[in-house]
Formats: sequence, C-alpha cells, structure tokens
Amino acid sequence: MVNLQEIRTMIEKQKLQSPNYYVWNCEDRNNKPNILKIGKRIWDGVLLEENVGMELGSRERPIIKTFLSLEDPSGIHNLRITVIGQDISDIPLRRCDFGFLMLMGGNTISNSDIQKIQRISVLSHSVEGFFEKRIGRLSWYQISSDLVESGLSLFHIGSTLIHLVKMEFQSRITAIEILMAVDVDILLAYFKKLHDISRVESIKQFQQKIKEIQKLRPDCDLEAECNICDNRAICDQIRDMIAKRNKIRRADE
Amino acid sequence: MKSDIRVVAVTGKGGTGKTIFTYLFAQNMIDLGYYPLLIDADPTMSHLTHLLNQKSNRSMESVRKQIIQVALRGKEDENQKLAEKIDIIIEQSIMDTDKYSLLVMGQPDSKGCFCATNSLLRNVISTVIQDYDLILIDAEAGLEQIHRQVLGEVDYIIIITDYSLRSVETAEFIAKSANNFIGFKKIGLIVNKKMGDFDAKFKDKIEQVGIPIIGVVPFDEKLIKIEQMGESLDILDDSSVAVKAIKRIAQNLLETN
Repeated sequence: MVNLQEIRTMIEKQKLQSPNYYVWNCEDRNNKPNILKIGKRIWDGVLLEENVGMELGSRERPIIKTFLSLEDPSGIHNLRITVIGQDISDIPLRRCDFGFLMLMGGNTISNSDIQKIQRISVLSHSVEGFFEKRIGRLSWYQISSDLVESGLSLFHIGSTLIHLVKMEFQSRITAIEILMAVDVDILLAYFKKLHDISRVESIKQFQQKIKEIQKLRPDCDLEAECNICDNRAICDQIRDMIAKRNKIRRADE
Repeated sequence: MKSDIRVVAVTGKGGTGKTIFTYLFAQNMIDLGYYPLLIDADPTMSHLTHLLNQKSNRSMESVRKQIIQVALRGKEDENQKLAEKIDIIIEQSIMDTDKYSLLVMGQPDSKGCFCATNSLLRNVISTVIQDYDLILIDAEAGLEQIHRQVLGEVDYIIIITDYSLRSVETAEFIAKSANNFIGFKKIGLIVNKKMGDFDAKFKDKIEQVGIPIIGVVPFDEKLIKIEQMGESLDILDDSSVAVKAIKRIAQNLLETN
C-alpha cells in the first residue's frame, strides 16, 4: 500500500536539497501564454522536429507518470502543483528528465477510472503546440519553440492535467494534486517505485476480479462480459425461456 | 458410495486411459448393484459411447443448437413451447439400457458464448438426473466443460495420470483449476498403466502436487492387445490386472465414502 505521509516526507526532503522548487495553486495564476489553447481535442496538429523548443523526457528516458487514488482525500492539497527542479524557462538545455505523480481523492475511483485518467492525461490534442510522442506505454513531451518563448510554465502543464481530469470526473474526484520532478533522479526513481507498486496492486485486483467473475459465471467464455457479447440478444431470449421453464416447473410441483 | 458421493467426474491428460477407466469402473459399479448414469462429456470424440458399443441418437449439443435456433427466430410462441418441453427433450436424450443410462454431450459447434443456453442445460440436466444414485462423467482434461454444459457441482473428481511427469503436471493444473470452475467435495489421483516401481523423481512430483493417490492400475498387456485389435472390453475378466485393480479401487471408494 502507498503511504501518503511517506510521499510528503520525500517531497519535503527534496525541497530542502533542491535549489529550485515551486508550489502553485492551479487557480491562482491566470497568466497563460497568449498562444496557449487548452481543451479536449483542441489541436490536431503535429510538431515538426525543427519547431521543437523543449523536450520533457525523451525516447531514452520517457516520462514517469504515476497516478494514485486515495479513498481519504483529506491529506491531499487540492489543486496544488508542486515542482521540484527548474521550470521550463530556466532549463538550460532543450531537454530534461521529467515525471509527475498525480494524487486523487474520492472513494469511487476504480481501476478503470485510473486507466481513463491515463488516457486523458495524454496531452497531444489538448494543448496547442504541445505534442506527446509515444511508443506503446512510454511517452515524452515535445513543446513548440513558440510555446516555450511565450512563457509556458510547468504550472500550465499541471493545471491542464488537473483541468482535464476534473472536467471528466467532476465531483467524483474530490481532491487532486500534482507533484512534478525535473531532473531530480532520486525523486523520479521514487515516482517509478510508486508507479510499480500501484501497477502490481491493480494487476492483483484485476486478477482477483476475474477469479470472482469466473466463480460467478464460469459458463461464460467472455468472462461475464455480456455487454460486449454479440449473442446477448439471443441469450436474453434464452433467459426468458429459462424463466418460463422454471415457472412451469414450480406450477407442476 | 451410498453416502454423500453421487456425482463422480473422471478427468486427466489425454491418453492416460480415463475413458477405459470410466468404462471398467462403471462395470464394477453395475456388478455391485448400481444403475449408473454415464455422461460422455468428452467434446472431441465420444469414446465412452463407442466403448459401450452405443450410438447416440441425440447429444446435448444438438439440444443446445435447437435452443439457440429457437432463440434466434425470437418467436414468442416457439419460445414458450420449447420452455414447456425442454425437460422432456433432455429426458428423451438419455439412452436407457438394462444396466446403465447414457447421456452424450457431443462436440460443441455453435460458435460464441451463449452462456444462457448452458445455464438452461445445466438446470434441466440437474433436475433430470436427480433419481440416479451414481452419475459417472467421462470428462476432457479441463473441468470447465463439465461446469459449462453438464453440472455445476461434482462430488468426487478422479484424476487419471500415467507414469509420466507431464501427466502429473496436467493433474496438478486440473486440481488447481477445479477450484475456479467447479464445486467438489473430494479429489483423488489414480496412477494408470504403472510399470515397475515409481522412481524417486516421480514420487517427489506426486508428493509435491499433493493430490492423494486413491489407486494404482498396473500396465495390462491383455487390455492393450484388446485395444489394438479393437475388440470389446467385455471379454476382459478377473485375470486382467487392470480389472482387478479397478475393482479394488471401486470397493475402496465404497468403503471409505
């Protein structure tokens, strides 16, 4: 199980050790770059290599994205974005190692919700001038030179992620917080560890669920996924037949 | 087996001799005064039916197809009529002889899940067979098929293995998956076609698998010859070491259950 206190201790320790850190509330700052447009499927463009002004993560060192849901939202600093490391404008080279941990609170967040959040956190089409390159599950961000020059900050990336998740889940996610790491190896490794733990837990939960379903409905070849079965209408007819047959038997008895 | 053991499923890796065991075990139970219902639940080929020298008029698969056809047409009156006579159809599909009854499951050829059909078949089969005091199922290697199309629960799972590690590994897999697919009270292993003494590796494997051995059937040359010649197993008598061993197993099961 993931321990929130342990995460806080780790972050505080890194704040003390890192020369740069930022803490923002995603509703505090409204100084969006002029050209920044954010929203669902706002941008269908692609980013040419020569227009890339900044890469967060890379093919060799993809972004570490960790999503954790906690039933008790009280320990989560709602709408807070914390960055350990430099912000985009201060990163001297055109690339950095990058990762984030998203903490979400709400007692109805399921594994499939987390998967959905992972999908909507792919920012390619949600921010103009922002492209998320992907190889399978691995990804890294490419940001256009224009966007970098217009003052894009990790604040905007964090608040976009929060905005997209809140838009999708509204009141079901009662608290959301993002912790980001830029070129802080120890913190990135920690995020990766949390990611692995949560992944193992979710695989275990999934396997358990399958076992339970198999026990409930071992006759179903689709692991009880009647909703995706092409023969559902036929089975409904047969279920009707079963009900009729049982009624006849009860009457006979 | 007058007590709580009524439904026995015989399973194991292909080629271990489970159908011949089922046949000889059934003969013993008949000799001991039982009138068993034999269920030929091997979907690949109805070996038991063949050994019994019977021909099935109607398998459960053909009933299954009929149910699906009616459901496909979706006519209310047809649906009602089939609901009224489904118990009779299945009852009539059971072949009665003077020594045993036989129910043949047949080879599934309706592609798709149709899990509701299986529920219907299972419900009806469990009603229709309630008067038998012994039901012996010759199953395929996995137990999913039994649960899907025959019965929700069996009392005793007998796993047949031959003297090979692979076969014991299959037995282990069957025993593990049994918990997921079917309810059962007891499980036991029979080592079939045993030649010579068990070597240490085989013994260790059996011990590690942890399924209790309820019997050992020696390799029987007579039986092999009869099989090679395609003759009836009825000519086997007590001089057959396999027959003797299976008789002992049947008696043990009767005494201990």
